[in-house]
Amino acid sequence: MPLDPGDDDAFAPPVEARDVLAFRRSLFPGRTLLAQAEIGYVSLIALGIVALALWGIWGTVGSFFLDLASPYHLVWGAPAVLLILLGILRYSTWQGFVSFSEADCMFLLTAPVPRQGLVWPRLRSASLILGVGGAIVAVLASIASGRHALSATRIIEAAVAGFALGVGLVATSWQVQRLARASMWVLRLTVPALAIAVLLALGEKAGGTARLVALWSGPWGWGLLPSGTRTLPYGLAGLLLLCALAVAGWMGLKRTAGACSLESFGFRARTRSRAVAGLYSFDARALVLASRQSQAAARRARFHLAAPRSRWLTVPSRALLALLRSPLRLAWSLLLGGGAMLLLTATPSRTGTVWGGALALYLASGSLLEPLRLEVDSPAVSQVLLPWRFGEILWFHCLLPVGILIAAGMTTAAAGWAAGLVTARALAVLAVLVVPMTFAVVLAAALSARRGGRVPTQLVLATAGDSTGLSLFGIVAWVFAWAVLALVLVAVSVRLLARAGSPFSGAALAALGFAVLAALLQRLLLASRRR
Amino acid sequence: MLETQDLTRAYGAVAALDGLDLSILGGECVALMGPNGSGKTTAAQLISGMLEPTAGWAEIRGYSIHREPDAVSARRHLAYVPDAARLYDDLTVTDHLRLVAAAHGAAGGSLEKRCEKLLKRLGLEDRSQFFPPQLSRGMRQKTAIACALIRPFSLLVLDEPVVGLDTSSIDVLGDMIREALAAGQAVLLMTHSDAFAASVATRILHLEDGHLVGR
Repeated sequence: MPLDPGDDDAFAPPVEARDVLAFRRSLFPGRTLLAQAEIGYVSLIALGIVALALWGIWGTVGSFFLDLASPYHLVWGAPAVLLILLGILRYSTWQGFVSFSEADCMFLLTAPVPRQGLVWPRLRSASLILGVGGAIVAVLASIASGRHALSATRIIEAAVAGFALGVGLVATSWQVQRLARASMWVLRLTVPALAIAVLLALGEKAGGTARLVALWSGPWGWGLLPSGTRTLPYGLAGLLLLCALAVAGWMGLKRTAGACSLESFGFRARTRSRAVAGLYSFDARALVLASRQSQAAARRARFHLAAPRSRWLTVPSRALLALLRSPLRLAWSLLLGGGAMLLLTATPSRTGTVWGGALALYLASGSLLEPLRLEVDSPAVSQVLLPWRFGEILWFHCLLPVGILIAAGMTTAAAGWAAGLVTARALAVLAVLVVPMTFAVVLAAALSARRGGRVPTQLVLATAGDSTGLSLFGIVAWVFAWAVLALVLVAVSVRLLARAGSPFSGAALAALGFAVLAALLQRLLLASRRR
Repeated sequence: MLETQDLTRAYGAVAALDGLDLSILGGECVALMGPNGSGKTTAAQLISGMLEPTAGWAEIRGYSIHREPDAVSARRHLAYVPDAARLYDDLTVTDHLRLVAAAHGAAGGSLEKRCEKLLKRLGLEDRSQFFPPQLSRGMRQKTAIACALIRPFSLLVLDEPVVGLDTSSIDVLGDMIREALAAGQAVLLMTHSDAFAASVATRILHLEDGHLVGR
């Protein structure tokens, strides 16, 4: 007999969420006690190994971390909390603390079950876990900083501040997750937030009123008020503000737990499955692309470039447009590239800074080569739209990064010379080296990028039957081979030149060596084929 | 314009396209029709150089599409619209037109006006600053068509161009094909749509199991 849609009695009454979840758990029974004990045992052994390894290197890095956490360096506290907050909020724009599988979205979330009942248990668990985690971290940081004599009051203050921050973070993250507008604002405010983090560090370091302003400027500083100021009322006020924020956040969580669209959960389920697939196949690029999914809908075309008159400028012009539309990436690359050349020229006799400079130069190249990575991500697009071979297109993509890095590097080094940081001799040596060296480094980064993010299956499979550990070394070598080549060549050349009696003939020889290497790498890049 | 001989693509023992002999002159529109799996898309991809043949050859204005450096010249004469639009996610619709025009040496003159006119004709004028992920399937398809038409070509290969298009856009595409034919350009059309093929094609061929079965 057909059902009458107007007759409610003909339909089953709504189901309680807890009954559905209990039924679901019965379908997917959890691990037995023995299996759980085994996981605990393996985790304990693994943690022990990690702890032993860390103990071994503690002598070297321990003092560095203690130095960072020392009272003088407590200035990093507020910016660090702000950066953690920013990182979690950005994560919430594409994932967040509440996620369901694609199958759950299809069957569980479309069932006539109150959504609040499905979401709230997850939010509650996340709040408790982050709250307790925050409390532990805050207590440890308080002990390590040793700003004041250790007392029960200080430990309780730190624990309360950490707990409140954790709960507040989950509450804010949930609002970002459920409101598309909030997600969009998090993406838009990333750059200003980074600038605020810098100002906070400067303000705290300056001391006095600037420091107080930094600590009072937001929740990132309130938790530090008890240990950052000696005045009890300030500390208590900071704690009270944080607790009020956490309570308001908790109430907001309870009230809005059911108010999130299926579309939002579906989007997160899809991106999560893509990200997990990327992780399982050792594909770092897939992970990056999955995390960018949320930005697609909010994108706006801010910059426009006229089509170049010369055909050969088409790809560099397209790369320039991509970089102009990612100002953060461009600024970061310029900072890295300029800083790299400054490090290489200002202190060429110090091994640490030279290696740091070489690494910064390679990272700047990799960052500027993002348009090339996009080309590798979808090779069929250029096959339809552009008339060149794939290798040629990749080569064209290298030209803009080379130009940018040479300009940024020479400008920074010249500024360093004007400021008295760089000698005229070092600047002249750089002028001889900069073109072939930058070409070689950018081409090495391009050869690394053209492989995509996936470790070859044969290499991964080789680890299965290998008990020697050499295959693991093979994977590490595969991932870092081009970077190591670039780093070693740049760092060794600069170190040798710093020691040489007549650096100019040495520089000419090194420039020739880099030019030959760049020519070889270019041949390799030109031979690239679409996968 | 297009000459293929014994053009074959086999996957192991299965031939997706088996010995296609085809000749298309300027001003001619050939429609290749056939059921799913008959080899239409394989033929389009082989002729446009997206796939390598296991036997035979294809030449556009006497240039081999599969052999460098001939292929460079062949690609300058060929415009291809694949069955699923392939676009850069980080470029807007207008950026795509500028990119393709520049890459084919057609950026001079009144490019912006040409872009505007073409987008207006295809009903994309108010989507010109959108990125592909923000477009519907039909709009992406129209962007791919605009990319093919913004630059000079001798042979236009269209693989299922009307899938996802509304009726008025199909009419506009039909008009554009007829204009290309009048200008002496050649068109190779792979389609399921009998009505569209009948409205624009000067010759209709049928493919079945990778073979030409009727002319």
